[in-house]
Amino acid sequence: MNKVIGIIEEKGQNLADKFGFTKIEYLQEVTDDEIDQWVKQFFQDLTIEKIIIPVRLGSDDSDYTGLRVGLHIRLTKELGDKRFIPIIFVSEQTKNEIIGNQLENNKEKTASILFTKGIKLVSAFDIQDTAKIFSESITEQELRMHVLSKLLITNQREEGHQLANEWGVFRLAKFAGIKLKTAKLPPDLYFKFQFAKTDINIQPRDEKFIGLERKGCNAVLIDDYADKGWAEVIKHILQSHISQHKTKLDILKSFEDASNYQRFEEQDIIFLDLRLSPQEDKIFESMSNAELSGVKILKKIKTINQGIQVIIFTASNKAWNMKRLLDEGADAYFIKESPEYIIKDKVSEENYKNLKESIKGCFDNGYLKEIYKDIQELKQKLDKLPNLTDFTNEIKNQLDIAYSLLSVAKLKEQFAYAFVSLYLIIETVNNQFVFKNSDKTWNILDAGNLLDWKWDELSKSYINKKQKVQKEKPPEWKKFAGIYFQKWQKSDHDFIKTIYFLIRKRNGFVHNVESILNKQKNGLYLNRDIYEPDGFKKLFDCVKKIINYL
Amino acid sequence: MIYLFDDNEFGQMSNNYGVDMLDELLRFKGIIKHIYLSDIELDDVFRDATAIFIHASFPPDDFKSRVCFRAEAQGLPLVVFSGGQVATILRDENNNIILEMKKDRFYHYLIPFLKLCQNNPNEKVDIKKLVYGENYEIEKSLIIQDRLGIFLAGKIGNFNYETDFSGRSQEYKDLSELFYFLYPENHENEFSKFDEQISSAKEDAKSFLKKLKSLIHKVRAKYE
Repeated sequence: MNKVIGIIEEKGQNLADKFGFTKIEYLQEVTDDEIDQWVKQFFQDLTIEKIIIPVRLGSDDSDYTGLRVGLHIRLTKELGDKRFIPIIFVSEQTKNEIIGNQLENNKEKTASILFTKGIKLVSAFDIQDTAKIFSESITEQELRMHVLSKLLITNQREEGHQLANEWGVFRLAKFAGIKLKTAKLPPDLYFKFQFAKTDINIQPRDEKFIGLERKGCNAVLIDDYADKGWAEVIKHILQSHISQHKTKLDILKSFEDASNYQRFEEQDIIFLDLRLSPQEDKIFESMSNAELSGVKILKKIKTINQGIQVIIFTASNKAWNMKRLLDEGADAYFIKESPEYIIKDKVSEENYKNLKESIKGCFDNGYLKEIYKDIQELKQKLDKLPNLTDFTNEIKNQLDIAYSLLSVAKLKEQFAYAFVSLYLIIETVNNQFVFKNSDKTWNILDAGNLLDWKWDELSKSYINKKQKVQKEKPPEWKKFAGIYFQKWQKSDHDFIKTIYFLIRKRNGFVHNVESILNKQKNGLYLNRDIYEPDGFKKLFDCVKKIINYL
Repeated sequence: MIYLFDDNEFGQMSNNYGVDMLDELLRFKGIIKHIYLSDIELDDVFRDATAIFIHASFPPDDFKSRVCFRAEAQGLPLVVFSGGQVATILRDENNNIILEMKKDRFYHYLIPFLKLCQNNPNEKVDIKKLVYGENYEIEKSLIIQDRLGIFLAGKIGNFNYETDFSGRSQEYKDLSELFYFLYPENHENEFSKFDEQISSAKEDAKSFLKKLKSLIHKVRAKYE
């Protein structure tokens, strides 16, 4: 195709014929969407060497629509190198007059393009001469370094929520290394401008798996913008970073759909947008937590099971809003980036990595859901026990306290505090059933004297020689062994051995006994799991059995 | 009476325009009424309406449609303004109807426009002065300058004032509007003198543009 000098003209104008240019007819394309389509089309149809554009086009010439068209050419990435061609604007005004007019009349400052490289503003009478000699195209680097810094393009939309939804998904997709198929870059000049400023190719550097390698995962995305790329990018992150195993992502696009959803407890992770309707955007800052649609859904999910892992997506970057979300029970949050607060690529990359870390954290905390579920069942069982109200209430409270400590545990000591709190249930059981007599012997409720149980290495079991315990303060494991063997008539000696070591582990931490905490067998530490979820889980398995014996 | 329909749902009229628009409108209560709810009797409105300005998302939709329909049927100046719109779109066949106007721009121009109406109580509401702002005459003459510049560049080498600026052409109307701006009381005579002078002088396109620019310079000097 031959290269041509294009000129944008309205019907009836004839400069193209007169000077041998190629006419590109302007047909009242006034919105960004229309201009975007039209510009892409004529660059596809023609090989344009340079282009001439009257600054005023259309029925309302006061809008300087020609400048808008020029900006679309410079900022439409899909045009490739074609967008760097020389642009000759036509007006009888000077560039200072035009930008002065825009400033005075509160218009968009599109005239800033006139002050950039590769642009010439001429009188209509100088078009022919200028078209012959002006050939100043620009490079991508010049666009980035010298042109964009001079442009002044403001957001024309009212809704920040919508902005962040449309912008943020492209930012996230970029760092997740996915080219979105389900979302189209918005045609607003403002978006194009911001993208031109921020869009450099970055390949994700951290490709390691983030958990659930063996079983894949079940997830839900609750977002009214799910179809606009968010579902695609979330699915991509889950699939590429979890495993080759199946990942299932359910999509809920409205508050009503989320309210009626019945399978939250089956999910490994839930991604929940804070605002599920554009109406909330306008009054977001004045809304209370309880009024936000996302918070309502979050509360519903946490009522079903506090251990269900929820990551909130929010367009707000205000620290106090993040705190509100965590206070409401969110397990993590992700800020949907907005062009309103452009952040550096490095920070965006961190934001993406934080999301992955949050997802990993949610997978790591997946056991909470099972523990919470078990606790609810245990509490129901305790409620059914006859005549033990104070005792059962105390155990129920201890279960709740231990769970709440565990659910927020991040540091190793916090896991140990949750362990110690759960251990108190053993002491409570002991206190309920074992009493001291005046002669320092001990009685078990309805089971006679507490006998002196000891481990016999030969028989690999606990035995007693019918001797009563006669001590000011016998160890808790011994009291519990008496209840277990004498009152409940149980015979799993390994269970008492496990209880013995769990109590020892607790004592090691509470009394800071390094020799206990650092005890090893076959090169493995036996007691340091008190600092990890595993320690809690082992103790909890025993507590479950104990409550079932009651 | 001009009727302004804006539900002002989130208090934008007080917060978004630098001044409290609700307070500002009170200064013009004799010429504009602000309606923020649809529970109004439209017959009463259209009995004394001289213009209708309505927010594109004034609820409910059918109410806005009815208001626009009646305004058009009655031949009233009508402006539909909205937040998302970038450009101003005038109805092709009737420049007294503005189908879309950016809300910021509408409110930016509204108070100067109302002042103008207040100072000229006997004139019909001229919506163009809302579109182009307080400096309507300057703005419009600059538009004419650009428009005629392109037109005249197309006539280089074969410009003929009498045929190119024939009485019914848009170019002729543009030129006569400049004289209206310059000599509102006596524009026909002044234009006629200019017309005769150019016709006999056999100007080329470029020198004619120079003359045109000199006229526009005078308009700017007069209204600035």
